[in-house]
Amino acid sequence: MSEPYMVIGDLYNRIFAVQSSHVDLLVNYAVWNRIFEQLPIDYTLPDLEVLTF
Amino acid sequence: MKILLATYWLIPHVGGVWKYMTQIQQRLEAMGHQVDLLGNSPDYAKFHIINRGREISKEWIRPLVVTKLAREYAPLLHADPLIHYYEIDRYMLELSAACFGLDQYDIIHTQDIFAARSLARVKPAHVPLIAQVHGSVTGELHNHFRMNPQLGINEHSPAWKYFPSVESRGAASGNVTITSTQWQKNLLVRDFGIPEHRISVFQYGLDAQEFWHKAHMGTDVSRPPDKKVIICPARLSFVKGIDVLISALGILKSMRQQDWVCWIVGDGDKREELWNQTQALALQNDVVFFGERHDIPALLLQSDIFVHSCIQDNQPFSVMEAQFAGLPACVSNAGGLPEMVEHGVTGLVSPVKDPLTLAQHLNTLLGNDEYRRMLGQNAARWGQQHWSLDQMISRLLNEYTRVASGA
Repeated sequence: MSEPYMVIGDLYNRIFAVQSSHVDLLVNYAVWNRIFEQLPIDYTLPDLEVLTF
Repeated sequence: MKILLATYWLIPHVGGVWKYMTQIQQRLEAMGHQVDLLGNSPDYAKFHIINRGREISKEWIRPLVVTKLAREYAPLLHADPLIHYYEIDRYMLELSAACFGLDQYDIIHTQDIFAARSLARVKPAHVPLIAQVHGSVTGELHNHFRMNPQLGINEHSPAWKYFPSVESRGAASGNVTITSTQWQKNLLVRDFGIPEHRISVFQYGLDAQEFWHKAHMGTDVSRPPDKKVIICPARLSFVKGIDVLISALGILKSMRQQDWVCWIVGDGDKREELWNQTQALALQNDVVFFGERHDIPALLLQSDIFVHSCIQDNQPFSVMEAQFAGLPACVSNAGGLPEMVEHGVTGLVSPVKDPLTLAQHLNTLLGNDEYRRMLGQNAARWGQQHWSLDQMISRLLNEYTRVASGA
């Protein structure tokens, strides 16, 4: 099996409420790109509604 | 219809949720529907759609999520290790579900509050979600915190407040919320603010054909010839209240001659503690720990009395199976149990954590064969009418059709 194509995780910063840079962190492009294109546009992490009590 | 049954819990699993999911899958697929089963893997390493062989390793997701949600970026998440554990795992379920693709389904039917909240956050708007609630995670965890003060978690702690927060939002995530007992419905309305009109209540069903097939396959266990058998099939966990049963058996031993034996069938984290309790009460010749077994229907047919002395439960399959087998049930009045067992008609109901009353009930049934058999016959009759799997599937399909049509 070929090695997965890895890209910088910062590409997917949009889904995080606080956007930070970690240039050394690489992720599997095929997996994360598929996740990213399937998520609703307003999806964010963490789930602040649940965490606010 | 193409249906996704989803849970945060492990699949496969020995518990009732897995049994419920596979029952629905088998019945609906026999009717021409397509049903996928999504959940955590038994080793917690991945989320998978088990019947399709599709899986997402958590290691593909976790590094980015944990790094981007470090304490300095998401302090609320780090208020307690329990919150961090459950939320990170739940986010991995969300991202895995998105990766699998949810737009292919006509209905998503979740089986717990974590899956309900998670899938509601990532599903396409046009795909309806039915949130089934089988029990109260908050109730179980709050009991656990109360019983273990050394954990230092009380009603002011973030971990205490987290579970009702996720439970209320999870249970409200669906177009409709389904539960199997009025008790659970009342809890959802009273404690979690779910509007009454959004909750449907209908009972579980049991596959009679499968039960009798397993029952007639028999078992390698034989009942002692001169003793009656009290059986308790349950996970050996705190919430099942097995310690209450063992305390009751200690009292029972002082009430009557040794004309009984108790079979405890199941395994769990309380095994050693319960075994020690049995030794301390000198019950080692009266109580048999069988561990986990797959011949429970056959064991029930060898038994005389069924016991479920739980602290909290909704509508356990074990009671339904005991009724199919024609056993009178000695149960606590926890949760939905009084909706399953009518005191003096199909069994005897005692207060939660009341070993003396339970011992008196066992003594009554052991001492009066005619009464015990009458309750057992009533239980069998009631069980056959009440736990129809066909009826449950028909009600479920009605709900699917109703929410899919936007009604």
